[in-house]
Amino acid sequence: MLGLALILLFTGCSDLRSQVSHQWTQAWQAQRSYHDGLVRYDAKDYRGAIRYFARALAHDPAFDDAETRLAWSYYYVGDYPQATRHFRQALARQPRWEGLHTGLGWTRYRLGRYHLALEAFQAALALDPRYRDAAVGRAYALFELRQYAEALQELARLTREGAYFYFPAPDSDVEEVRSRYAWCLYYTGGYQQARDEFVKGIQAHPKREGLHNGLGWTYLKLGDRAKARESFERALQLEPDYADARAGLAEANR
Amino acid sequence: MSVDPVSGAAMTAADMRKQDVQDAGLRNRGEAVRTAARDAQQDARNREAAEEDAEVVALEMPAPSGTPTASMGTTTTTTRP
Repeated sequence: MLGLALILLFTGCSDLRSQVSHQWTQAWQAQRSYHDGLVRYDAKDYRGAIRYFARALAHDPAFDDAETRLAWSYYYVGDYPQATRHFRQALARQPRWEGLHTGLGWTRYRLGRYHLALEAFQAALALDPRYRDAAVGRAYALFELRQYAEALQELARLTREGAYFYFPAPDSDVEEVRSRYAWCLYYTGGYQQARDEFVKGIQAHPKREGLHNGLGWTYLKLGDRAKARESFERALQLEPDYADARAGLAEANR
Repeated sequence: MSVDPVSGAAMTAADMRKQDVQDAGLRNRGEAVRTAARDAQQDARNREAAEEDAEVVALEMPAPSGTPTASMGTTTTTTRP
């Protein structure tokens, strides 16, 4: 009787030991793959990173950081459907992680799914109202949905904050946000203000053809054909195949 | 056959009724336009959601082999990398 109990105990312990050992090995391999992936991710080798993060997930399917980095890696290589899939899977486990909502928002934005993008950015902002990247995404999605009045307020704030709150090193996205703000002003009829913002943008980035093009269309609305022509010509010097600038120049010459 | 109003008061009342009817019509039309716009937005949103779901389902692969283990992942990344 005692012998049987000892055999059962020994067998049971052996199974347990083997199970623990297997789990430990899986977890260790997941961590190792994740760190190998991070090295590639930090070096912007996103294709290389994908291989390692996917391997980490194979070892530990609930490894949130690995799945998030995998989603961003897919985002950076332009595989938006895969990015969507992984952001959604991670969000199913971590619904209160605002960075995941923002990642899903930008992925949807790149796919032109602006309604869904807006929902994702709003979910992120509900968790963290000061989350700039989510606020920028929300404003861009509103802009694409032609809800200019709503986008305008947000873009005005983001441009102001980006330029001054981060002094002496303005936030890296500020000129892009300013450009969107200027276009929003243009579409809502604030032509003089739009002109001022396009001019500020050009001072910071004189070689951005889109800003010269925007300034050209704004001058046209303000009735200054000579300056409009000058702006369109500058845009076309920088990008000779710029169809919108060419259309603007034709309009200015009419 | 139309009947001319017999007094100024009656005429005003008739005009007011007509104006009310027109206003109500405009209000209804405005509401109809707003409803149609809202419906169009909702349809567009639903189309996007259906597209996304179909795409994700198409990408679903068999679960990774191996026994799932307890998560070692922590949620530290809160901004877009």
